Amino acid sequence: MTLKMSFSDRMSSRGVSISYVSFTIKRMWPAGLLFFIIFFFTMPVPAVLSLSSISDPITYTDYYSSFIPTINGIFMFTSVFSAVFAGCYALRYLQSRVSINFYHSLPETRLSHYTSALAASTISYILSAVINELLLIIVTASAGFLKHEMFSLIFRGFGACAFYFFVFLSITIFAGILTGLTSIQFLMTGYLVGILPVIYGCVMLILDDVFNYFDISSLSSMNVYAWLTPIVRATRAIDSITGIRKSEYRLSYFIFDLLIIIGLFIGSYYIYKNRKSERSGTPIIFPRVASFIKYTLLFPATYILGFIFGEIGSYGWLYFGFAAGALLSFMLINTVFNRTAKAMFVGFKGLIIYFVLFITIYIAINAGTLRFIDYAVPQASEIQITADNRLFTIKDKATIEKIRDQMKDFNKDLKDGKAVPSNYDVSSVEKGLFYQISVDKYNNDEATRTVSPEVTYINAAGMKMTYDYYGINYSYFSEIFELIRSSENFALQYIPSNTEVEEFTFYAVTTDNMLDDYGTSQHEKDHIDNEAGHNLSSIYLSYGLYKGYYEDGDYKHFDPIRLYGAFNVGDSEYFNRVSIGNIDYRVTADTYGTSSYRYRSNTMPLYFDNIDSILSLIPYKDENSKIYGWYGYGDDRVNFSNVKKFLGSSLEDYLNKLSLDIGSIIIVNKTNENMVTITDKGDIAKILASCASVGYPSIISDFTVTHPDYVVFINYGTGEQAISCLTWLLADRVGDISDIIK
Amino acid sequence: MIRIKDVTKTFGAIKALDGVSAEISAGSIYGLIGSNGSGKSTLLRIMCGVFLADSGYVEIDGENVYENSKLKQSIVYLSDEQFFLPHSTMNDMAQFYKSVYRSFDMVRFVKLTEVFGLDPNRKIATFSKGMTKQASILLGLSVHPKYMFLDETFDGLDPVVRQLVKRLIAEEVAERKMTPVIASHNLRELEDICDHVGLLHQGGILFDRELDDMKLNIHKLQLVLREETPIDALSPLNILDHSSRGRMHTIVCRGTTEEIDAVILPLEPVYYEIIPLTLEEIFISEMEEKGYDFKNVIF
Repeated sequence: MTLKMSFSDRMSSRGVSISYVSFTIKRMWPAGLLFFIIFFFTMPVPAVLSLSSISDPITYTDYYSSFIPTINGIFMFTSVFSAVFAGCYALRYLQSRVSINFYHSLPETRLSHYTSALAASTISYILSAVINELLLIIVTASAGFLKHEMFSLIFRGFGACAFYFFVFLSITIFAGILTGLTSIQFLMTGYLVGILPVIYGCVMLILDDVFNYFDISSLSSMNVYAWLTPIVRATRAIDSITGIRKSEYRLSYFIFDLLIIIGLFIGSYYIYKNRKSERSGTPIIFPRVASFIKYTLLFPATYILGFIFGEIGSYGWLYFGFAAGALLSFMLINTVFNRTAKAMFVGFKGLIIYFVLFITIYIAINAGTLRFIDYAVPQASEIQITADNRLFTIKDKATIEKIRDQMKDFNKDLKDGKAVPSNYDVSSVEKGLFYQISVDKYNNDEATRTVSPEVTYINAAGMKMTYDYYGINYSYFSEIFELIRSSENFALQYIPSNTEVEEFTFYAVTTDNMLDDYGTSQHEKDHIDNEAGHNLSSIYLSYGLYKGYYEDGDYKHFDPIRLYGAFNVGDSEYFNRVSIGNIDYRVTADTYGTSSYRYRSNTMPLYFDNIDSILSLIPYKDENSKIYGWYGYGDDRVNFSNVKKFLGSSLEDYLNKLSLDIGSIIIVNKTNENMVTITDKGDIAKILASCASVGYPSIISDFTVTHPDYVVFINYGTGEQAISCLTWLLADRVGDISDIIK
Repeated sequence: MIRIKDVTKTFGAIKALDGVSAEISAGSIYGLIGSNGSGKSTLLRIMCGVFLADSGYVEIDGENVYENSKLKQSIVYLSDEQFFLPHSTMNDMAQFYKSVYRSFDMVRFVKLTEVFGLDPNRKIATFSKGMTKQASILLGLSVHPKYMFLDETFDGLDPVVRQLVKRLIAEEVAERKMTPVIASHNLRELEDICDHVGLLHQGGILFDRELDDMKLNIHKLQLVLREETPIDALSPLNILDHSSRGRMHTIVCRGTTEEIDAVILPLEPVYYEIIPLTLEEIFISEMEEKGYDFKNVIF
């Protein structure tokens, strides 16, 4: 006999009843209606209001680059809200003894209940969202703005929001399975989303507080927090996908969140199967989970209150704050978990043990007896050791060892800033390595000249811990620089004015529009083909408006690299120019090794005040290019074959086009205020050979390789066309030209 | 048939059920009695698959009930606290039951709403306590379950409705061989409907017996003996309780009427009558015989 089974029967045999699932979905209508109303008033309605404004009609560019990204941002927020609400609403049957007696007595398996909850949550959201997305598209289309790229933007925004809806739904469902009250489920969701960044932040604060030279910023970047909470990842996703601003959304985030969705949905089901129905109505279903939550909440509460009271001043207040934070949060958590204030001291012994442990560890860290951070610094052989202030690089171990020896003396000479802990001694950090020195403070007054180097240690995990030394006497530090200069690896980062450029590419910036403000900038590279790029670059270089210098007070500084500052215009004029693209350059491989990183490559936006003639040359590569709708150009662009003139494409070409000779060099001796003007070509050549590069950062000039007494002005051209650039004499070559500068 | 074998259930430090074993025959009306906190509701929830026993098992028709949706199609559990879908009417609930129970009988549901006089379109939230109880009972009866577990179901019902419910349950038993298991702390409510009773006390079943057997084997006598008849003449009786006022003796004893008559009639008493015992009196006697202070067990 053949037994035919309907789909419904087959599903029932696997523990999922279709009729029950569909009934549950229908019963989710209040949540669906709420979502619909929220989406309706945050998507199509604002679109209609914006587009129907008669006095200030919204342009396609505004709508595309500003309005829709904003709508998408709001949509992400409402999607996250919907996920949490839907998760709580769908699982409310689990959170009451009365209802769970009813539901679990029904002829439905846990799988059926669970599937129903997920399906109901998903459909209530998806249905509401899709309808409103369609309404938004209809509104957009009615204004004539529904182009391919607009549709793509809306679609991508929906994709990102739907994806993070599932991330937050999986977290909320997981929270619901672990808890037995809807209110606690809501709080648990917040806990799961926020506890890691909170704890991490507290740990960072402790390290920052205890280790005076701990650089909190090096460890608390948003990249770290992105891994700790989906809130940051969701924000980055919507920012990145819809282009409100450039944001780092990585494929790894997506994979990580996908694993969270899958893991939590599956894991929640298996926990649900073992979830005791009789525990419903109690805040936390699993007692061990409750203990874990309690103590993970106690830690930040203890520290934060201690931190607040510690601001009053004395250690007494700090420890009072710790005690108050631990006790109050313990009482509060117990009251919430047990739903009665009578239980606020349940497990008081645990609190005592926790608090003693907390205080012991805190004191131990503070006293320096626990140096787990320092111990985490890897062996010297495990690190690529450099002393680098971005202008020089030290690689040989011997020099670094010497530098380390020097550094220990600095502790004794710190004058201001944060005090070094009395028990802290750089030299005792056996695994510590002198990694970086950068000088960020310099005082011209010889008597009080100080420097503030940074020392960065890297722990085993590759994390940087930077210690700032403030106000070290220059005389101590000069020895360090002598060591640096004497290193065989030391290379003066000197860029000659005719540095060869290896790559010089042009790419269009899709929606870069400097007419508004910085906020509209997007940097989605849309490379045009090489020929077009070369042509456009050439046109740029030949364009009469650029100037290879920038003004600083009374001086005009020659700086071939800083082309972005090469406009002799005020701010308003500057911002009223339109950037049509960027030029990337990169120095040749030969030059690369001896160049400071800041000169190795750069990106320069192209600005023109006569934009029309240039825009007409930008070809439409595809429909995407039509987002230049603001410019109002049609499809009849001038083909690049129409470009008559090809002027070259390298920076060298550009420099050659200047055709300016050095007319004179003026050397000023700051000590005796003597000024020497050199016009002889031979002397000029000698002086140039003894100078640091033009554009060489003055910040280190006085105590590194240049002589502190001399300032050099190189004058290109003559008369009003003259361009002066500032540089310094190399200290070790002053003797070679002493007869010229005497 | 329901087989309960060594079922244990603890809630934290509280042992609600401790090795409970019992068998409930199909078609019988089983009364589960016990004081508050004796474990009646817990046992019912294990029997209908809401709770999972820590150890032991419950089998219904030879199958484990937990997570057995097919088996649970034949089970309806009426909790002591009724639950209805929020903002629902009786009709909404009927639709819900219909989506869940394949055997839900809409015709019977309509008929029962008329019998109970409940408006199917009225929000259940506006019903009185007794009406919500009636609502849950009639929804459960409309399923035509093979097994029905009722927890303190008669509480809050007026006497007329109580009798109506008992009649409906009896009809289901008679016509469809339904097996109701009725948990209550009130013996008087069970004695006119149950044919089998089990007494739960401190997590264990103290007592599990056919009611008729109990009634047939225990009797209450009132008699006045002749003056010359010594009281020792009653010693052949298996006396459970004996009190006297003047010459009137009231005796509760074990044995059939024939066995008792065989002892009493030869004594030619002045007055002799066998009075039926209430279920409560039977339990008192049985439990006192087992050495329990019955009043502390039930009341």
